[in-house]
Amino acid sequence: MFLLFILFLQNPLQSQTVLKGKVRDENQKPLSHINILVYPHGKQNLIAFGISRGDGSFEINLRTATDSLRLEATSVHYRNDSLFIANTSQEVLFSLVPETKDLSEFVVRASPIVQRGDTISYLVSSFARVQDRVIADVLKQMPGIEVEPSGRILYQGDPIQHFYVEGLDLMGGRYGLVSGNMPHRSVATVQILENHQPIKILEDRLPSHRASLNITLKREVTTTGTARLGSGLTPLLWDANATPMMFTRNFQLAGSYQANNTGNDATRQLDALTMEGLRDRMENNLTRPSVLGIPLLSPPGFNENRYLDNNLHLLNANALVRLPGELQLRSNLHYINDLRQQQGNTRRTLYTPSDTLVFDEQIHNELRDNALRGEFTLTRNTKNNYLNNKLEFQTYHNQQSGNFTTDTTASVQNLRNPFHTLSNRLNMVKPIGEKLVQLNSHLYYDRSPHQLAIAPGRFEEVFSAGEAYDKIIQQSNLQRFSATHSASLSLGWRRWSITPRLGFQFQQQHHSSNIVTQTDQSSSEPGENFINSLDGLRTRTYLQTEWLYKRGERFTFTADIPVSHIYIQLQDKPLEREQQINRVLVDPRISADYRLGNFWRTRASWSYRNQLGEMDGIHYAWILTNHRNLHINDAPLQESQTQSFLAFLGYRNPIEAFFSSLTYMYHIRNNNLLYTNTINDDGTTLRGAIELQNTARTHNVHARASKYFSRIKSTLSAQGSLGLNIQDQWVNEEIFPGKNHTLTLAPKANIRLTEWMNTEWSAEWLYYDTYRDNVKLNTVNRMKYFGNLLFFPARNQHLAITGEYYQHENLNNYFVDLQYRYTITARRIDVDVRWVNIFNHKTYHDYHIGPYSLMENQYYLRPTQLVVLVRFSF
Amino acid sequence: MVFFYNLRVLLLSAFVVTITTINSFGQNHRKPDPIEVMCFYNVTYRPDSTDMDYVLHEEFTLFIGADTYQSQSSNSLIPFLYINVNDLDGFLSAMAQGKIPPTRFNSTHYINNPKGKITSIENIGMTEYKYTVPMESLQWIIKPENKKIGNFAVQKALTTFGGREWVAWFTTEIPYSAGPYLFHGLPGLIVKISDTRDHYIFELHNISNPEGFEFIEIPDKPRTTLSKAEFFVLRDRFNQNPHASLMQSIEAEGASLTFDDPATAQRSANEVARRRNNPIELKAD
Repeated sequence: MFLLFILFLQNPLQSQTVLKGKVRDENQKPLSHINILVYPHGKQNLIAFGISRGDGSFEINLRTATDSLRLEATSVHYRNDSLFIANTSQEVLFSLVPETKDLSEFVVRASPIVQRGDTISYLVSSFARVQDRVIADVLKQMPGIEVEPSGRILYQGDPIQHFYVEGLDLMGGRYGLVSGNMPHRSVATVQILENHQPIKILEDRLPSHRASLNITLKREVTTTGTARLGSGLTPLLWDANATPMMFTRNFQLAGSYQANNTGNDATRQLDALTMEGLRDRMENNLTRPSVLGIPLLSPPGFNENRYLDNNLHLLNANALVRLPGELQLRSNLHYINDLRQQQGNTRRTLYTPSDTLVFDEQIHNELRDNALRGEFTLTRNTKNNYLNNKLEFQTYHNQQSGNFTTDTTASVQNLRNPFHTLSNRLNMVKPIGEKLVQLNSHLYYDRSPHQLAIAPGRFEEVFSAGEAYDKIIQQSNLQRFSATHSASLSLGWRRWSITPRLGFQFQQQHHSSNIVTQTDQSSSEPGENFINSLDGLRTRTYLQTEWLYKRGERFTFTADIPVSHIYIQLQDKPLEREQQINRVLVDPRISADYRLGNFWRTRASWSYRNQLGEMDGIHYAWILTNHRNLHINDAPLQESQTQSFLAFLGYRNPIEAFFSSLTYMYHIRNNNLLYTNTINDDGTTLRGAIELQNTARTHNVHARASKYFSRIKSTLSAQGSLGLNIQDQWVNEEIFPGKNHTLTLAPKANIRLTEWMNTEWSAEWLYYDTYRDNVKLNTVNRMKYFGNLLFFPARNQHLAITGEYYQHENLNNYFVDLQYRYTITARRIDVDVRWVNIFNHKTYHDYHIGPYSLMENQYYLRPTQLVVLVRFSF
Repeated sequence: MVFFYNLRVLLLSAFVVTITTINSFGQNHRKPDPIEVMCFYNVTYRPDSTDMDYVLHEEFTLFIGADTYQSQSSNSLIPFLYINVNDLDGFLSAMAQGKIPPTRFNSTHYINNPKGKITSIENIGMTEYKYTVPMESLQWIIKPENKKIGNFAVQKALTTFGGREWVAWFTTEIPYSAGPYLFHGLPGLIVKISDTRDHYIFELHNISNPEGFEFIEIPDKPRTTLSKAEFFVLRDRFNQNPHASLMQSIEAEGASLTFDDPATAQRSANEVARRRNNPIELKAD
């Protein structure tokens, strides 16, 4: 119902006229949304108006001195109609005749500020001023183009969609690196491409109102870049990062070189955190195999700058080439060379049914990474298909060596763990009728020929009848191939929406392993109990259909009922062993969401999952996985069924800024296998598996609450959880229920003290109890406290002081760091001073608990260090 | 009110949720209103009242339907171009590459939807809120002045809204009672509207047939409903300590977030909030 607007104009002495009336069509049907315009007779200035309501009625009050009025009824869907009446209160009737006003009439008459549909070119030389250095400076002068402080470029108020150099989009969204560095002297013209839809298959489906910007170059080759340099003490520290770029008409390159020994693990940037990458990892389940390993010291759970003893060199090159036939090839190459050192002491306490064994070890590890990774993406982007093909290879030549010393023995371990992969991924989007169908294909091959050498030899009773010997060498070679294909589309029906996805996966692998023992003179192979030659084959056909049902804004129900057929065959010909599994698995998952009123939310879900063990997990002969473990898995493939229940209750009141929730989770997992551990007196362990149905249960309750206090501009929050886990353990021929309790509590505060000072405080308390047969084995308490003070003395500076305090049992660790940043705004230079570990704390203690073990680690940290960093462009 | 940190990953996960809940479009109980015309306005504005030289530009899109209007910044519509064709992957990759441009206007206004009311959907941090006001809240005074803007004969009208005095120029030649943002109710399309201090200026630059969007409807998804006054309390509270407020809502969702460089993150959050001291609506009417 459109309302009526009452207008008082002119002077209040004039008497008020009230015009009432109705608007109808030829069939006497009342019409709404009709404008009734009131003009003084013979004039063009509107003096009052009304808009007809749902029942066609309108009412207009006006005060004016004129004798007669002209009333006009207007609407897009009816012909305009005029009436001349005397300026007295009265009833007026309009009867309108349908007429569709042609819209193009308006469009033509609207004088557009923007000239659409063309490419607009700006000649750079006519806009550049003396003080301008880079193309971004010149862009600011061009009409219609703006550059925000962040480097974002706007055209007619809208951010540009793509920044092309000679039609190629090398940097994606990070174009600021190009526009902020490219000297304007190398640019010939700047072009604005209006209404640019980058994915051509969507051109008719998704028109774009947005513009893209293209730069054409004067010269054949243009180079530019940014750099960061840092140095510090002690010992001599460096941190360098240079990003040069090169542009030509058909080939573009952005590279980077990074090197540091300050404990900054720059390789993390290479792990693409895209949704695609995550989904890949989940679906294909292809992680780097780690059958063999040397025991690593588990790193402390805090900032790596304090402990990571590295020496890293990283080279990275992005290149883009234009090919004929609407094709573009983008390549990405990384080379990593890193040497990391770990030093520390561990104390392992093992609880066997008859005894408690304690072992102390000093560990010194050296981990060398030497890796090359490459990615080649071919994209075709035309009107009737979108194709994206990515070919990827990785080759790691990694080596690890470790020295393990106890009071009585010293052992040296050397691991060569190269890893080579080749994979290809194809994504296609094809329109079928109204729907777009997506096709995915993934091919993958990897090879990991690993070798672990331990000197002197271990497990003497097994390999040399109790006699000491010089060296044991374990070889393991795993090769895998997999192919996955899937297709998906989306459908809707009434309140339901359904997304089916059909896929087929094929996986084949071969795993061989062998052990060689060496003495001074000779080497020997201990025989077939230590030789694996296992062929594996796995196929999986699956249909996933997600069902979503919605009712109003309150209730949502989803069901996912994936059905899959899995066939697995494992065969070790020399050992004459084999097994097969043929299963049709249904893994239903349902969940319901209900919102009560504005602030309460409830959710409940149930799921049933079948899990089949990894083929790598089975080996019918023994494998020495590290100097402490000899491992066999001569059992059927692991099969487990997990049921999970979740109940959630949340209260979120944004008006009070109070959020809280309570979650309860229960998992029950049935397993066909139980893993066995036989602990020897020297601390080495023989690991195996036996077929025995067993059940593990986990309960978890989690609560959290937070509130923002306006008066002190601060948030206070707390969370806590309580967990119980029960699972059977098999240690030294005895089965017992292992049980543990965990309790955590974590309060937190963020306080804005003044305009120029913020502070944050948090604590985490953890209590962990382990039981065997309801007898408490041990309790570990761990407290963490964290606080920081941030000062913002001016807009271009800040100072941060960070403090951390850890208490494990009775051992204390505390750290204080300081960081100061000064930005020279005009020249875009950042200067950073970082002083890490001010009190020069040298070691860090922590505890790790297993069902029948307790591990105490002492990790040697980096000494206190002071680094100054400068970041600039060239 | 905008997301301050450059947290692509987090945004991704937030949008996956959005996309999966919205993709069941067309399930509203209310019959969707077909769009008859789309109008585009350039908005020129000064978000920082302490720096009048800091001038920004965006575009507003107005959908005109048979019965209702919908108005929002053009950038905020871009995700829907993907959502409406169920192109999740395309959206994610554009998102990951930073190609979905942000907007300073995180609100969508639905005029006469439901009947007689204006429904606004607006984000604070990452949370979406809904508030409704009656349509009578906008009262116009017609002035006799007229002139030409482009080829349109326009007439002047005044109103008070959101703590500002507004001057509108409308044309009876296009008899739609609509305008940008939530301005409406004149007997013709608003061609230009600005506040008396020229902090916000909307100018019509194009009118076209509908493309990319077919219907006006309020996306059917769970959100918190507040009064407009309550919403403004929340908005001002958020700007007091944006970092703390944002972290609170992230953690309330069960997520967590750590910063490599917390000082820079908080400094920029405070700085951004400080530079956004001049919103289009200074207060709730």
